[in-house]
Amino acid sequence: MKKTHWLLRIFHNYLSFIMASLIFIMMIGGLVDISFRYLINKPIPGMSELMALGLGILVYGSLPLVTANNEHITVDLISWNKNRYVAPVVSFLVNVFSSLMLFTISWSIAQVAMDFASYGARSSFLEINLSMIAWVMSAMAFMCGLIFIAKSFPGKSSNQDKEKTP
Amino acid sequence: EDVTLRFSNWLPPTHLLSTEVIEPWAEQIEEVTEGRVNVQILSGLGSPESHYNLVKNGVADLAFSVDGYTSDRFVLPYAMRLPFLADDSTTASVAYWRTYKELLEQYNEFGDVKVMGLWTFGPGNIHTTEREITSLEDFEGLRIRVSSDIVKDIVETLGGSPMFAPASEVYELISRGVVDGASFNYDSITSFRIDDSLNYVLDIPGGLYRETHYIIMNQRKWDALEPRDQEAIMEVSGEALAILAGNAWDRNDAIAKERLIEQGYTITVPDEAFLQEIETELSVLAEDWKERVAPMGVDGQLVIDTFKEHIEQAEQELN
Amino acid sequence: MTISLIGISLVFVLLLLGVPIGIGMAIIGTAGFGYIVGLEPTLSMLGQITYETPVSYSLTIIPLFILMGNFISRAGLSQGLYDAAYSFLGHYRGGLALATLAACGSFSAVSGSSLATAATMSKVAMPQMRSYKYSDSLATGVIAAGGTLGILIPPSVLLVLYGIMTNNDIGKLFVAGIIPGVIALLMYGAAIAFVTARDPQAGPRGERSTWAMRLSALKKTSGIAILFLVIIGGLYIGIFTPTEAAAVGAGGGFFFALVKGTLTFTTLFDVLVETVKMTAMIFIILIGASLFSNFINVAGLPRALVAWTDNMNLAPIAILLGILLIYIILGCMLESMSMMLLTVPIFYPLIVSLGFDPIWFGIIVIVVIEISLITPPVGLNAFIMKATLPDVSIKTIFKGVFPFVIADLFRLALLVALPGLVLYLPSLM
Ligand code: NA
Ligand code: NA
Repeated sequence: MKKTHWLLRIFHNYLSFIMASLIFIMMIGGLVDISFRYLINKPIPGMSELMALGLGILVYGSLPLVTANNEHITVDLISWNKNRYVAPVVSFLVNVFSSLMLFTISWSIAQVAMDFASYGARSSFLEINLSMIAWVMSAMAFMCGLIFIAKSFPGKSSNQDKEKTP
Repeated sequence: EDVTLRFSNWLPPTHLLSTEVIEPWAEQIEEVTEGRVNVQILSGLGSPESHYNLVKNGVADLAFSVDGYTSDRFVLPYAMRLPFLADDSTTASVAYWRTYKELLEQYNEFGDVKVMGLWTFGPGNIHTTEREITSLEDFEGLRIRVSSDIVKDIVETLGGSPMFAPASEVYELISRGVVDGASFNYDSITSFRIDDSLNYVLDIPGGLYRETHYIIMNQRKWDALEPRDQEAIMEVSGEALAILAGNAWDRNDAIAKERLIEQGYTITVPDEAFLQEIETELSVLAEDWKERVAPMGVDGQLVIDTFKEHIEQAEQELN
Repeated sequence: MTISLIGISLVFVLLLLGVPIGIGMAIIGTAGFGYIVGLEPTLSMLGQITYETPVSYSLTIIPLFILMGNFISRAGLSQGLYDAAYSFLGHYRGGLALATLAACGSFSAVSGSSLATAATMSKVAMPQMRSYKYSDSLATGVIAAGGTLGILIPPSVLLVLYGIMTNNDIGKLFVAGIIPGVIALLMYGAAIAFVTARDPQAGPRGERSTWAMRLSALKKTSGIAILFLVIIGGLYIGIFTPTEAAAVGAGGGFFFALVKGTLTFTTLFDVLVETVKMTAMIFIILIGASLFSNFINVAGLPRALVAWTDNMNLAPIAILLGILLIYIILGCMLESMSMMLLTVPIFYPLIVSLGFDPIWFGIIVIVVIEISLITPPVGLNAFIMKATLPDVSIKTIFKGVFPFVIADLFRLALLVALPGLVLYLPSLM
């Protein structure tokens, strides 16, 4: 994320902040839940539900961060970046494949969101609108796909960045 | 030409529904269609809750699931799960199928899938580790692991505190004392291997609840079958499938109950006065449900009465 | 069968190109499923899996245990632990690796997941081994391998799953894992001794500490000891579930980091962001693996394997060895949870019909899954190491893990030859 546009950088920081807050809240939520269960013999209704939905958002919301920072787990048994003719081609293919997959995932979660909306699906305790949750996950997957696209164009933030700066 | 149907089965292959219902039923289908229709049983292609969608969208052709897992989609079967209705699974299962054909089918809750069979397990009751329940006060503050909406409603109404947890955590929750008990039928106690930790059951005549199950088929796959095959398959499905599943549950519940008694399990049958108290407390469940289905144009009382009539009739036929 | 093999080969190609692992498996899983079942159902299956896999309460255990580990290492509690371990074991060759192993073993008694164990221990142990000039390959190898004990030493998420799937006593399964866990520790210790005997620079000796130093070092571990005791005690007495234990562990880690004064707003932010990123990396692989196993499932590979085994008409032990070989080959490709979900339904009935003990087989399955976690090209624990240590190449990690894979194969052979090692403890119940 060295030479990225200032707008992207701000966005990156906001998203990081939201995801950091989310995991922290989930931790506190878990602690409060177990305290309540023992102190007043009642679990907080729907806490586990909240944590499950939180995890769904956490995973997809953090995916763009992982992608933007080139931190995906890969099998680097062959170091393509050593060959300066092959490297851009391989990097282009990898990023295009990945972005296509993420767009497909985004699209398919959007279908889930629309299906939820069609019968007004709500979580069983807190009656959270599940369609909304799915839309957020879909949007985040879409954004992750966009970042892969951005990376498929050689230049400022390509796959090789990280290997150069160990 | 021959058709192969994919049955996505998320249950463990050793579960009694796999060995005593799904597999035999699949074999029956091959038999009655003289091999023109084959059923290939796959391990589950998604979570239990997703199986309605998997079949609707053609990911799988056939699936079994529990409608209580997606109770916002299936509102009507709740009536079949209400307390005190039936002493065994077979009569309730047959009555459920007949009630479905007579009343529930017209509301089309299953939407775009073909309903192959419906049944209930049960009767289910509350089993506890240390506290024997002999009065309403004993429910107070009792932490109970629940698996579906009906049990959650029951436990809450009686003053306990329900805790949702997946089946994979049941053993841990109970053996470590995180919960004081759980809602089960007898067979589940032994098949989950928690008979060492649980010691008491409040055995309500007619059952405190029962869970409702279904087997569904992708509509397009069904429509594409030859009429003679459709007819032959329905011969072994519907009510026949309800009896197959009901018998399997009853057989295994009886074996489990006997084993638990041998192990010194305490089976508490409430006296008349206590039972009366429970009935009064829980009458709100049926009332709430009737209110919920009224906007759908459903006469809730009629559904409950019809189910009861069919149970009585099935009891006479089957015994 | 053919189509499954083509699919597996294509995944290899994508991964070697450098496509992120989860995404590569997702691409082939989705494409393969679509080829067999058709486009529309496949997109619906894709939505289902990608939505519901991360929306799970029980899986919150993964980010929370990672968070605990990150707090612990940020609080410097790990420093104390390793100073203590070093004071006792440091003057042996590879002593700190042995200490790491012991820590992996004890952490496994708190964690039900191998991934969480490896992730936490990599945070805790790696900086120390580096500061004592251990070779990266030995250091990452011992953590990746030691981390696999998370699913063998109770509690174990996978043993619970096996118990439910096959209708076996989970308590017995848990108890059955203890002796094989201890054997694993001993054999891994031997592997460390072997590596450091061949290459003394891989795990250099340190100075022998005096008893006064040892005691003072031991005192500094009280924080982590308290955390361990709270979590282990809480789990075994039944104060909380594993998932709640993870929340308590993360909260405790936060508390100690706070008390130690090592936590500023910036470091807290770093710890949290690091945690969510590792969580996303792990879950995209979980999702990809689920998609890929759905493809293999409808392509009929497990079925074909059984038919093939049946046709061979062999003695039970030969079939068992065949199954184990299949497990090890599949294990090179598949993630632990999907391997369990995919194979147990197929092999379990066969194994039981051949007269093998179901509890014993459960442990054997766990051991082969442990192996799968550290064998290339898809070895999740090795990837966890890679995720926490971006500057170490995956090649180095797999190289470092190799001696431990050999140790695992010896252990597997031992448990197959002497089932009593598994079954003695449960027989006392
Ligand atoms: Na463990
Ligand atoms: Na592997």
